[in-house]
Amino acid sequence: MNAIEPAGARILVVDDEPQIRRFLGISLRTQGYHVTEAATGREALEVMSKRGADLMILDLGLPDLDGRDVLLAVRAFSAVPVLVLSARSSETQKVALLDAGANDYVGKPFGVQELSARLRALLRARPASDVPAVFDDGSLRIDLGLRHVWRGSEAVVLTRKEWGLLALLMQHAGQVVTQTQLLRDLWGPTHTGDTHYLRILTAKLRAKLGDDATDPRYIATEPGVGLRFLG
Amino acid sequence: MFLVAALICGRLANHLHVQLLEVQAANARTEALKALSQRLAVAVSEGDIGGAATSALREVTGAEAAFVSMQQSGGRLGEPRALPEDAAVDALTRMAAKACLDSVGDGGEAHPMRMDFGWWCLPLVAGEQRLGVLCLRFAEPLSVLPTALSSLAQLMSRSVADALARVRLARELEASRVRAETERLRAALLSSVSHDLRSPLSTIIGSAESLKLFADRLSVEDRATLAADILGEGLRLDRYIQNLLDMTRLGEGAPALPREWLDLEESFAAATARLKRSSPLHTVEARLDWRPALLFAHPALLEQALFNLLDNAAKFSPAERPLQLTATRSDDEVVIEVVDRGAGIPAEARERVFDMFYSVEQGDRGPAGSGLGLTICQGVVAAHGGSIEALAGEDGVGTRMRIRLPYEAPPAEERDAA
Repeated sequence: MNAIEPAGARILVVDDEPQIRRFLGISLRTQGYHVTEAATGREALEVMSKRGADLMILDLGLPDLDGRDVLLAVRAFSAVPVLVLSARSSETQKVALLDAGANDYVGKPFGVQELSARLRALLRARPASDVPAVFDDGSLRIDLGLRHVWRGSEAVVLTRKEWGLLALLMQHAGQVVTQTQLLRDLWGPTHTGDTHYLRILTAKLRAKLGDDATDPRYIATEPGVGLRFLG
Repeated sequence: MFLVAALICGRLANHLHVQLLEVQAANARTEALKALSQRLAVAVSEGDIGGAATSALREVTGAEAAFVSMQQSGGRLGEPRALPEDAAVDALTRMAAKACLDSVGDGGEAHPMRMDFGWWCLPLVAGEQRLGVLCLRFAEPLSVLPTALSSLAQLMSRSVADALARVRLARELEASRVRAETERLRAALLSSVSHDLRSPLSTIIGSAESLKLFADRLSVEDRATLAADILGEGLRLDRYIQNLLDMTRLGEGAPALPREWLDLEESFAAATARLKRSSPLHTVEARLDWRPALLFAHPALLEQALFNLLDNAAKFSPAERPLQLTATRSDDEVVIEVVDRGAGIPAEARERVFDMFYSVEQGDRGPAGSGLGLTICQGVVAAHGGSIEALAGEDGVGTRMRIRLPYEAPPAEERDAA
């Protein structure tokens, strides 16, 4: 089992607001995580290079360094999952952060439940080289390795593109995958503006999985940012 | 004898010919002057005026013509600016124009003046105000302007100056009207912001302090209630701030909205999910008549507009009556409606509900609202080239908010897109 058990995982919280570090510390420790805190970008880089962490929660508005620079500096030596906290900025900025190596983001203000769900998803995520994931919630079974989808006892036939989309989302289950990345990987770099391709493909895939866009169980849309596999 | 007669006749004919030419020229000038005053009468900008004046001058004189506008404040003249914007007028010409107007002085007479670089300049003066200069340059430099041309030029410059003064006055009046309106809005915004930020803050501060002071004496239920109130009011503050941010996103001078193809069904889902969090008791019945419901729009702002409509409907509607959220499409239009069975809006107030701070101007009656929600809807819809209106609901009960957005089919899908 490569995945880190949520309980016991070491989380580095980087935020210059002591109140935010405090309530994050309290609620994360209560859930069984080990929490280290950093108030500046330099402190965060020091902790990461000396002791490391299993996950980093990174606020973007730091007094000494730009959060994006911290992200890039960490990415230079570590693949640690990074969850970005951002005071609700534009969708373009969120996409830029995800493209710069962040694994997910939560907009400030955020709820503890939402944050915890994201943390669990990030800690569960496996490297892409790992055994292909199998998803089974009782009514839908997806085996990416065998390329099989079953709805109950009925086999579902997916097109090549539908498979591609489902696989990309499932490899990052629980995390948002930007639509630029999806369009680039599925149609090529000249099609990153053809968002209607993605909408049409998503609608077809949802229909085949028995998912409902108005109350998605499997594939959720983050408006203007990307898609997220909820499994 | 014959020769003399021929000579006399020839001279006579020549003389008549010259007279005829002069009459024709005078007619042409009168016509040009008439055409100019017609164009000036409908001019709404200095660019219009510059265009009309220079083309009229070019037509009657055959010379190169330019219009240079200047603003006078106190006794000083501002930067000379050539108009219309696309006219090719070099810096030397603008300098000549400025020198001409400088030499006129306050309330001076407006005679054509011969300036450097071969320009003849006609100062444009109305009353005490020096407004600009019309410039003329002949292919063969003239040392003296012919009388006919000079008087025509003066006539033209007088009507151009009058038109300029009129356009500038209108612009100043508009600017002061906008300033007054901005002031009024700013005052309303400040009072609304402080009111709307403070009410939830009072609950948050009061509840948190109660928790801190009386923690050990409070029952478990009371503690839970206080904590829930802090959370709820915090979320309300967040929604309000989001609205304020959206206002600035939609504000004047904002760059064109970045749009993309979205699935309206997903926007419905996102807005409905948010309503579930803020008004857990209300339900929404959503219906779309095409799938996937592709629309070229700004996803976050459209979702915000839909949420604001639902939120507004929920505030004034009993929870047991589901809100209807529908979208229908024709070849060139998408119509989105939110229908509630609430108290409804009196016919005379249906246009005003979109005004900024409308609910605030109504005082503290009714459920709390910032008075920004519907204004934002209108802003979002307008930014997408659409319109929004408030109508009576089904059978005259409640309200039907109707958004109309222009629709264009997506570009043909690549064959193997799916």
